[in-house]
Amino acid sequence: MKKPVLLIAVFCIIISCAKYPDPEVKLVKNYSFSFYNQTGQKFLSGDMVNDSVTFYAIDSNNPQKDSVRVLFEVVKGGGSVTVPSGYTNKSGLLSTHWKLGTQSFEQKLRAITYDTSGNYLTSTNLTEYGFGENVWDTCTFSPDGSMTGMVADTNSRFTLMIDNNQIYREGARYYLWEPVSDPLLVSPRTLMMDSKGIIYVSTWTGELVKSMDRGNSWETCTKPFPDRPYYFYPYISNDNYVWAFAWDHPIKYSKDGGMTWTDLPDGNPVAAGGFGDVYRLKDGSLLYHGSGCCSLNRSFDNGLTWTKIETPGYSIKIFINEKEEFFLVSQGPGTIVIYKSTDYGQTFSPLYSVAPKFVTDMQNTFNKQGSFYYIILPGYGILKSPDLNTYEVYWVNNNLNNLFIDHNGVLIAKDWNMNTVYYRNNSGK
Amino acid sequence: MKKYNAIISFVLIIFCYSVGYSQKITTGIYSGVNFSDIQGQDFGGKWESKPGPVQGIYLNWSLGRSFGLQTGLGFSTVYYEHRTTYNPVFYITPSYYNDMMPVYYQTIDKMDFSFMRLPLLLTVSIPSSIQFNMKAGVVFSFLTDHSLGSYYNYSYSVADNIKKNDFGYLFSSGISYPLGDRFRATLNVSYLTGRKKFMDYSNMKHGSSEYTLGIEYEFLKKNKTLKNQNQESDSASKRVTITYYGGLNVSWNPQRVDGKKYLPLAGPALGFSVNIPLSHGSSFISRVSFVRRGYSMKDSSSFFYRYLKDDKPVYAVNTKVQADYAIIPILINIPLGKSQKLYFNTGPWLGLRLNARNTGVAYNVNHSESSYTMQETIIYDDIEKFIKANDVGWAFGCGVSVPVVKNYKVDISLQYSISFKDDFNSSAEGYMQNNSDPGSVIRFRTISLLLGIKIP
Repeated sequence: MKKPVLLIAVFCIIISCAKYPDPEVKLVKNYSFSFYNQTGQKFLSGDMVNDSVTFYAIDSNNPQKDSVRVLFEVVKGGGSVTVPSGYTNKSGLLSTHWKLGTQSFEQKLRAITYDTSGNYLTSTNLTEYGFGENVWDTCTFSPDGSMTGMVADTNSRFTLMIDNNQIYREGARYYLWEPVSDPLLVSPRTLMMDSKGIIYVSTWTGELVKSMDRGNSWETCTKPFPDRPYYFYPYISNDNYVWAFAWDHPIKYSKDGGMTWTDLPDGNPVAAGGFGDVYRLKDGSLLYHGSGCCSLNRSFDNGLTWTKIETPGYSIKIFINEKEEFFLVSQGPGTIVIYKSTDYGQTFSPLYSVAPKFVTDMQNTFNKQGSFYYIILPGYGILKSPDLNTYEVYWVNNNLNNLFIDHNGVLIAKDWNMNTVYYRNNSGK
Repeated sequence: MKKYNAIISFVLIIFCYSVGYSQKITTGIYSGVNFSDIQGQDFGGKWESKPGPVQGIYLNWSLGRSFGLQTGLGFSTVYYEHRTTYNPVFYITPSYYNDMMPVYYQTIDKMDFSFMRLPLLLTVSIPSSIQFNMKAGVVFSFLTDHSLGSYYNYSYSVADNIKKNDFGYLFSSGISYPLGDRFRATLNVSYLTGRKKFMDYSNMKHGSSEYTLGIEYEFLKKNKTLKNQNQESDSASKRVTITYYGGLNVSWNPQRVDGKKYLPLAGPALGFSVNIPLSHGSSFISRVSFVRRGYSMKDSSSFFYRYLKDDKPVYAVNTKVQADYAIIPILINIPLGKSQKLYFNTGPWLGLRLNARNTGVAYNVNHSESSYTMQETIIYDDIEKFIKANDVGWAFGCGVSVPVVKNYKVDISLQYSISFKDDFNSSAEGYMQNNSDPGSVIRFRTISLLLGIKIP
């Protein structure tokens, strides 16, 4: 009878003694996921993204054995993939082909990963951009998001863009921009082009350089204000004169491409109007409207004397068409009104008015592409007109500030926030 | 004052009880091993139970047929070893292992203490061929030597803060086997728990279990006395029986938190009971059971040892909370039927928590677009500070007692017990509680299936 007692005691002692492992913290799974393809690339809608899209997934705790099941899913843009699912190879790679869709500018491909037991691991997105046709594509990329000026030549098929400190040339696609480098292009500020295709660049240090071969080479012009180390406001009038404005100096013009400069007389009334637009009319007179209010003046002696022309409202911009009809943009109470004058400014009649969200300086207000004018009214949006007599609302976007058109006819609208542009490719190119 | 009056009264009763019986003095030597079981802790981690030597001599003064007093001189060395994985700078609680992810150190810190001990114990013996005895009393310990691990030395600046003496309780039970007229071999299992915090700024108290073998010698005993005692022993066996038993108990905590429930935990039960017959076949049962109670968790939680009302549980836990108790019930046993093989018993019990721990594993998953990590935390935390030191409740039981050989019986019983007290010590959590968390309540329910041998 002693043995059973001892057996019970031994059994109870054994089961009451449990060996526990020491406290420990360890990573039992440690996966890394990524697409080999660079995110944020730009393509045309319907393009293939690179030659292929390659996804990488590996468990660093067990890199040789732990394959991962990957499910590719297009979650935005409406594109398609050729390999919708599969397992990563020994190197942790799985490739597919991704054709972008046309449903949205931003397009996403998602790789949903599972371990070999079918447990969900995570989802990894690859975002690319597909530029569409006849839609506005909103871009916050660099450098185009901060562009401030543009020149385009439809004949020579090139476009240059500036973003305050660097000049870029439009690349193989209208959304691709390649920097233009030249020792003379030091801190470029503005970019303009005359009717002969000569490109002028003013700098933040008050220099003026020009290119006569579409921006391939550059030469220095005579500094319009030699004693002034700061930037100035240049303007190219339709007679290819180069005008230079600086608030503390007389207005200057150069009729030989910036090599020599002529001062307008001191006390000239147009100086008070600030920098602005200058037109040479067919009778040889000059028409000037500064950036400030109500500064339309005409000179019949090449700028020595000026005659003020009264304008309706709070005029801030003028445009002269081939028929020398004046189109004046004026601010009214809460509105912007476009006026027309067919008698050189003696009378103006209103054509169209809008109510902008805000008012500011007018820049590239009147832009022509093909048979149409596109008129940007900051704080309102873009109007479209075949003849500037009738208008239609082309795009209401209260955040717009400026508008450019490249040599392909792609509209590039600029947001006031300085980091957003809107591309619209109407040509389909 | 009531306590002292009770002790004095009890001693007088023992003396009066002993008057009518022969008295004997027994001495013995013993040697064995102790296994450290530190009491209280300052933070989580695992206290490894380490063996150490124990030896001593004792002198027992028998005050009668069953009762006696014992004292002696003991020597022991207790080795403590603490293992954890934590960031030593930011470590707060076990649940914050993951939040302090950046740096982990696997630390093992050791310390040991050597004592000279003077026990004063009341002994109870049940005479039979294999004599069973129980002892309980106080122990005065005097520190003779010690060494500390670097962490404790550094953290507590304890060079001069170690307490030089200790006062504690000792519980023991064992058997002795006759080797001749005067010699007996002894086997004892003891549990010793200190009552004083042994270093300043710390909650730790000494604790250990001891397993000893010894030789006992009886003197001042005449042959006549021995003969009479054996006769009395046979007579006594008709009235008092001992049941050694072991088995399995399943315990659980019925509380729910946010719809999450605590799952049952199975654990061992081991002990003995003394059955003192009363009239009409009924009997009075006193018992000492060593049982493991607790619960398990298999859900999401921010803590390892309880569910927290938390919108963002950090872990998927698969853990157990195990608390070892010495349960001392006082039961009235009533036989059922004519054969009196079936019985029913019920009565109150007192539970003394010996230790408590939190074990298991927890997983924490973090994923982003570029990564997925699963962190496994192997958990072993001593959590005695979260479990109250004692418990009271009521037990119900039934069973069958079947004679097998001679007067031996096999006893199969089923016990159900409930706790009256909330065993969770919420004050130990302190600042860890948040406003939305209702806290925790632990009221153990236990069902035990026991198989025993009833020895006359």
